[in-house]
Order: sequence, then structure tokens, then C-alpha cells
Amino acid sequence: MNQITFALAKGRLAKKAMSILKEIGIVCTEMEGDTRKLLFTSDDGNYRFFLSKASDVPTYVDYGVADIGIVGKDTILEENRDVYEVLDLGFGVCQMAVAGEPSKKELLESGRVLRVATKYPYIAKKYFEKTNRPVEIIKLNGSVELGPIVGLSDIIVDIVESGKTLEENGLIVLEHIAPLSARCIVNTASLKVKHEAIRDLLNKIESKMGDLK
Amino acid sequence: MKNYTLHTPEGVKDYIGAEAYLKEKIQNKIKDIFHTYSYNLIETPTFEYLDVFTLGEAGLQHPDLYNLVNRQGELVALRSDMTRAIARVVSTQNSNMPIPQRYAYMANSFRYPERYQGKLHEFTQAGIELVGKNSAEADAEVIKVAIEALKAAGLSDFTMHIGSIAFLEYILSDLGLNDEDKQAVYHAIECKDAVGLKSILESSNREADTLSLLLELIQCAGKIDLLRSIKQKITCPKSKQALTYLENIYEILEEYNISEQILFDFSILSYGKYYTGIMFQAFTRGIGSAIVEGGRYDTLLCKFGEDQPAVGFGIHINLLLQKIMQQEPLPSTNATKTLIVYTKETRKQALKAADGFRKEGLVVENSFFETIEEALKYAKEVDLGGVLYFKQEDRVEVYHLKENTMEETTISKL
Repeated sequence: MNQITFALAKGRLAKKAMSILKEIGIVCTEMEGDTRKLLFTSDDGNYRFFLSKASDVPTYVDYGVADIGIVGKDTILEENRDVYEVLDLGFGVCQMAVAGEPSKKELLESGRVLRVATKYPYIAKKYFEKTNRPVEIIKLNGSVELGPIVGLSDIIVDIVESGKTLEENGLIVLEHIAPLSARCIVNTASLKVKHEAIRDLLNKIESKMGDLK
Repeated sequence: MKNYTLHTPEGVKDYIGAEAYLKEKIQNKIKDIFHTYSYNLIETPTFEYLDVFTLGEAGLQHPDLYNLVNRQGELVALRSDMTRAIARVVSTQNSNMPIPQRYAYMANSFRYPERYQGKLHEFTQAGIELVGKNSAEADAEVIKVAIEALKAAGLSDFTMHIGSIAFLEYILSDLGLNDEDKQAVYHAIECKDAVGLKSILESSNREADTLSLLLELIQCAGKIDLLRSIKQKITCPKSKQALTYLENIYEILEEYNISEQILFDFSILSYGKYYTGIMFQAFTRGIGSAIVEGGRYDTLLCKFGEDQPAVGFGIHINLLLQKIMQQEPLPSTNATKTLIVYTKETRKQALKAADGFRKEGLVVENSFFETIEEALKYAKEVDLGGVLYFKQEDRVEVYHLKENTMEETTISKL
């Protein structure tokens, strides 16, 4: 009953998160092997972990089926769930940006209607609303860079890490929207009901991150 | 084509059988508690002018409201918030009534959440409002009623978290934040974004001591000792005063004998912008959000033209019901029911006997089945407690379905 449940975004983020947890003494051996299991328990039995699609992590945390979630800021912004964002984990650093061919800079500033391809329709909509520009948003599910190349859209809104993919496809960053990194989110009620255990855990993680810096 | 007659729209829910019964039971117990503290039941229209629900908020667009245009072309909205409806009543019909006024309600409200989050658009809230009194005693009374209502509903493990928005405001102005930074702070609080909040505070170039205290406050929650230790660290007299006020409330709650449920919560991330003095929330294990939300709102009534302080709360009945159903399986409401089966000849006596039982408070269902076999089959299927078969003249067969036994007796012996 007093277990703390983590929802982790599958992939790099989960691996990195588990290695940080290992350093503060939370070991989950059954997760390390090659397995198809979805739910894991730490060796000391105090923590449970499950891996999910990144965009579902805030949902699990919102409903309280996971107490803590580890997920990118991009997903937190896009899903807009009622959760506490408590810690910047400092890895997976990148940015959300508007990108396109260099020639689109002028169009972007002209105030004419723009076609925007993105995996993040909510973030894109909010951003262009805030900057008072009319847009038509086209939701894509991957390889968003294709949008401007094949003429589906004028520009894209996407995550930019090194800028290499953009460069190879003749695109550049036109505007910065927000800095991104892995974050720790906590369910509203868990933070209250399991306050001490969670607080203690977060402090340990934070000081470990301080050591890394 | 989708057959719309077979579906309900997003965000609404049917309550059927045992669940409906339990919901009603919880609601009645809570209403009884409100009644014993002399809160008067109030019922307001399900829809009224949009303005009631938007007064004091900027702009015409309110995408979270269920609004519609009536025949006269006026904008109306389904009730989104009972507090505002009561504020209207206080400022109109009841504006000449003596103060304090106590109101209790049990009502459904309607609000659009973000899309596809699986949250109810129509939800039931039980709540009270205490109008016209701004004191620690009034605040304590309201918190006490909330706790007693939860207990009466059958909830045992919960904590009540009390914080103070006044305290937050004093601390922030003590820091000397400019308006822009203050807005950013409130925005971060509203978004529950501690990471953002921290970076705003760190970039505001305040002295290290105040800053570390504030950052500590973000993650604080605890018993009365915590409150006292924070009070010692604080220098600003106004902030100190806000904490003394909380201490006063705590003393009264001790007298009410409910102090063990109380936690003070300075995780300033949890403040709502609606409130002016204290605010409180109740949480329980297994439910992902607050089951009670309340606080003091001394400026709302003024917007309606009646400058009165007020304090109140709302219990989320749907969440409470969910929790109570987690605690124990739904009781079968049928197990205590009795089915009476009769023939043409025994009908008169059977109906008379049944009415006698009903007067004693038993639940008796008339059978419309032709034969006792059919009646027994039905009774077993729906899990009734027993069957009375008025067989012939005054001979009666009593079937105990749970024990699977039958005994014969006569009407006079029943």
C-alpha cells in the first residue's frame, strides 16, 4: 500500500532515469534484462515501475495510478494534464522550435496564414495564439521534417536537439518556443498523501543531480 | 450511421442499482450533517445567465462553460459553480436577511474539461457556504463540518490540508517582486510548475536567505510544529500574522477534537486564485485529486454588490463514491428484499400481509409470475433475500434463498 509507483517514458529517458535511481540505492534487477514484462518491482519491494508510451505518462500520473512520472517537458506541455511538475532532471536537453526553409522567415513575420505540420498540435496552437498569428495546423505522427520538403506545410513545430536532421533537409530553426528536458511529475494527491516518502525521494534525486553537475 | 439513441455524450454517466443507492445514501448522510450545523438547504436553477458564472473574469469567451442561447437570444449557462449562484441569492433575495447566513447544497454542476481526459462534465457537489463572518471561528466551523461530512459518508483515512493564500501574498510582496514577476509566479502556481517557479524566483535576485525559505516552503507540509517552526524563521510581520491566524484556527479545531486529521500545507503550488484567506483540501489514498476543496473568498460577493466575507467548501461526491466503493464491495440492495407470490385466491390476504411488512420498514416486491417456480428462478437471478409464497388459504411457504431452505407456516404466524 505504501509502495510508490513510477510511470516511465519508454526508451532513453527510462534507462537514464533508472540509472539515476540506482545511484540513490533503488535497484530493480528484473527490469535490467531483456523482458516483455510491463510492470516491475524494485528489489526492496518499495517501488513499482511501468514503462509506457511517453504521451501516456502524464495521463497515468493525473489519475494517480502512478505517483511519479518521468517524461519530457514536450509531453507535459502537449498533454496539459493536472499534475505537479516538481523537478528538472537536467538530461534529454533540447528545445521546441519553429523550423522551416530559411526563405520562410519572411512569411512567418508577414502575418499571413501559415500551414504548420507538427506532432504537437496543442503546443503549436498555444504558441501561435500567444504570438497572434493565424495558422492551419496539420497533425503528423512522425518525420515532421517531410512537411515543408514535400510541400505539405510552410513550416514545422518540433523538437530540435542538435539541428542535424534539420540541416540535412535544408531547414533551420526560425523561432524558439521553449527549452525542454526530462522532468519529474507527481500526482496531486500523492504529493499530499505520500508526502514524506516522495519528498525524501525527490531530495535524494536532486542532490544526486547536483553531484553530477 | 451512429445510432445516437444507444449512446451518451462524452462526460456524463448513469448511476444504476446499488451504485445509485449508495450515492443517494452518501448524499443523505452528508446533508444530515449540514443540517445539524444549521446550514439551510438551497436549490438554485440548473441554468442561469452566463454573467453569474463569469462575473469578474476577463473576456467574453469561457470555453469551460456549458453555455447556450435561449429563445430571447440571451446567453445562459448551465451551473458551473454553486458558490456563484449562492452569491447571487445573497446579493438579491436575501440581501436584507441578518448575518451570518448559512447555506447547504447538493447539486450537479457542468464544466468542460480538456478533451479526451475521461473526466466527468456533469458532476455532483455537496457543500456549504458561511456568509458574513470573517474569523478563525467561522473558518474552523466550516473545516469541522467538512471533516464530519466525510466521516459520516464512511470515509476513514483522509487528511485535511490547510494553507493560506494571504500568507503567500505577504511573502511575495515582502520579497519585493515586481508585478510582472508576481504574475509569472501565479501562473507557475496555477500550472503546478515548480520547476518554472524555482527559475523565476532564482532569477529575481533576492537575498539567499529569503529565497531558500521560499523554496523550502514550496515543498513543505506537516503538523502544527511545522507551522510554528516556519513562524520563527519569518521576519515579515504580516506573514507572521497570517500564520498566527492559522494557529488560532488550529486551536479551535483541537477543541472540536479533529486536530489529528489536520496538516498545514505550505506547498504554495496548491493555491487557487479564487481564494483570499485560508484554503483547504482533503485527500485520501487511491483518489488522484482533492475530494474536498474549500476556502475563504472575501471579494466574490462584493462583485455581486454585497460586500460580505464568506467561507465554504465543496465535496466531490463522484470521487467520494469511487473511494467508498474501493473500500468495500457494493452492497447488494436486493439481499434484504422479499418477493411475495400469491394465487388469485390468496391475493387479498397476501397484499394485506405485504403492506403490514412495509409499514415495519421491510422491502417487499410483488411478483407478477404465474407460478412459484418462475418466481423462485427470478428471485435467485436477482439475488433477493427471500420469497413468501401464499399457497392456499392461510398456508404460506417461506423460502430463505441464501440458506437455500424452505419452511411452511401460516399467515397468522408470519
